[in-house]
Amino acid sequence: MITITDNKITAQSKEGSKASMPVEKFVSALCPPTPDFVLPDKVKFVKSSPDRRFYIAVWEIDPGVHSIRWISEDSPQQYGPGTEYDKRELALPYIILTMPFAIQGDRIVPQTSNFECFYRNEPLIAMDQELYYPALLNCSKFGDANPRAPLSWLCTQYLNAAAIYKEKGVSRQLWRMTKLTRWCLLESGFNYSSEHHEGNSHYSDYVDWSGADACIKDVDKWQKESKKNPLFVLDLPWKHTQHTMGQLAERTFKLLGAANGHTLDQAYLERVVFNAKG
Amino acid sequence: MITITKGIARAETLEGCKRSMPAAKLISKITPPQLDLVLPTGVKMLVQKHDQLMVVYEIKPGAHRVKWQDVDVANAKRRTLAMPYVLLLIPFAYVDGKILPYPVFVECYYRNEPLMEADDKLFFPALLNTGYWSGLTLDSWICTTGIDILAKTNYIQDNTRRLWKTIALLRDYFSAATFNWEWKYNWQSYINWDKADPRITNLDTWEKETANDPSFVLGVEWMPAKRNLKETINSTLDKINSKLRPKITSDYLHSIIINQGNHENIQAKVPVLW
Repeated sequence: MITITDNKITAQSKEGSKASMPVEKFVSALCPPTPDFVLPDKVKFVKSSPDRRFYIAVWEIDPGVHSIRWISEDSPQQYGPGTEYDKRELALPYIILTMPFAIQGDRIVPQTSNFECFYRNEPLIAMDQELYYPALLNCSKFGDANPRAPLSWLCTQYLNAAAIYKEKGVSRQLWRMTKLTRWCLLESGFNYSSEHHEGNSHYSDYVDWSGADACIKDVDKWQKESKKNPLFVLDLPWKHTQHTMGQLAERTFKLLGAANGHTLDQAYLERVVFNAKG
Repeated sequence: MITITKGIARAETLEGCKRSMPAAKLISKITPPQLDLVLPTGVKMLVQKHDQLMVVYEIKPGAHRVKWQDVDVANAKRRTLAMPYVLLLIPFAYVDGKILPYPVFVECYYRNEPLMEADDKLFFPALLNTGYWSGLTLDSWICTTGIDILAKTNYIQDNTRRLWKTIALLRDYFSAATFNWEWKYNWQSYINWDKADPRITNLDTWEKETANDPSFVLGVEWMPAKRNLKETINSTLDKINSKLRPKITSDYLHSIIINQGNHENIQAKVPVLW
C-alpha cells in the first residue's frame, strides 16, 4: 500500500517494512531525465528507449555525388586484405544512419551490432515516414527468416571505439561516433563481405530485383548517370522496408532488449519508493 | 491523505467526498511526455523539463542583410553585416498533446565557435533589439513582436511541423530583421565596453569589413554572458515552470483526484507510462 501525505510518499510492504521519499523525488524517479546532448549537424533526433537503457541517434546525409571506393571487377579478393578497389563518383539519395548506444558513466557505448543504414528520396521530417533499403554493398540483408536481426546492418568492423573515448563528454563522443560511422559507410570501401558473412547485401538484392533501375545495377552506368544528373537517384524506386522511422526505432530497442515501458502497477510504484530508500 | 492500493489512487475531502482514479492516470498528469520530434537542421539541443521544452537553434556565421535604424534617423537603412554563430533559445510548452512556442521568452546569443557541449560559454550579441529584460529577467531577450508566431503556427496539428515552422519564422525574422532603438541594451553595452572592437562599433566599418571578409567576425571579442548555455536554459525553464507548473505536492495530487477522479467503483486498468 502507498500513502501520500505532507508531501511525502510512503510505501508499506505486506511484511510491514516501510520506506518513504518526497513526492517531487518520486515523480523524478519515475521519469529520469535524458542527458543534455549537443547534437552534431544533421542529427535528426536522439530518442531514448522506454526504460532509458538505450538511445538511438538518427543521422541524415544529404543527397549528392559521393567519392567512394567500390570493389574492382577483377579484384583478387571479394573482401578483406588483398581486395582491390576503384574510385567511383556515385550519386546517392538521402541516407539515414541509425546508431543505437547506451550510456555508462560519462561514456557512450555504441551498440554497433544494431547500426543500420537506409535510403529516402525526401528529407526525414516525421517519425511516421517510411525507410527504404539502401542499394549498397556492406549493408547486410540477413533475410526474413531472422526476426532478431537488423533490417539493414551496416558493417562497422573498422569503427574505432577508442577514438570515441578520446573525446570528453557525451556530446563530443556522439559527434565522433557519427563521423566514424560515416567513414565506415562511405570511405572504408564497398566489397562483398556481407554476401559472405551475413548472407547477402542489399546491393546484390537490388541487382536481382526486377523493379530496380538499370542504372544502379551497373556501376559504370551509375557513375555516368551521376555525372549527368547528380540528383537522378531521387526519382528512383527503392525497396520498402515496411517500417517507419518510429517503428524502426522501437524495433531496435526491442532487439537490444529494452523494456517496452514501465507498467505502472502497484508493485512497480512500491518498488520505486523502496529502491530510493538507500 | 491519498492512498494507492491495487493501482488505484483514492482521495477524500473534509466533507467526505470520495474520488479515485488509476494511479497511472494520476502519474501521467505530473510526468513529462516523451516527444517524438524530428528536428530541422540547425537544432543543436533539445532540453525537456517537465512540460517545458527548450530548443537551441544555431545559425551559421555569415553576412545578414538587415535593416538598421540610425539613432537620429527615422528610416532604417539596409546593411549587410557579418555575424558569428547565432544561437536562438526557443522555449515551448507541452499542452494537451501539443507543443506551443513561447515567443516572449526567446533569447539570442553569439559564439565564435560551433556549439559542442551543453556547458559551452555564451556571448551577448552586439545588436539592437536584444538585451536584458527585467520583466522576465532574461539576460539576452530578443524582441519578436514583429512576428505573430502563435497565430502563424497554431493551425498546424503535427508537433514536428509546428516546431519546424516556428524555427523558420524566427530564423527568417532574424536574418532580415529591422533593428531599431526601441530596445538598445546589448548594443549600447557593447559600444561602451572597453574591449569593444572598432570594426563593429562603427556600422560603416562593420559593413566594409563584411564585404572584405565576412568571417572576420569570428575573430572579434564579444561580451561574455554571465551564464553558460546549460545554466541559461535551466534558468529560463525554471522561470517558466515556476510561473506555470504547479509544484508537485500532496495537496496538488489530492486536487487532481478530487477534481478529475471518478467514483470508487471504477476498475483499475494498467496503462503504460511511455
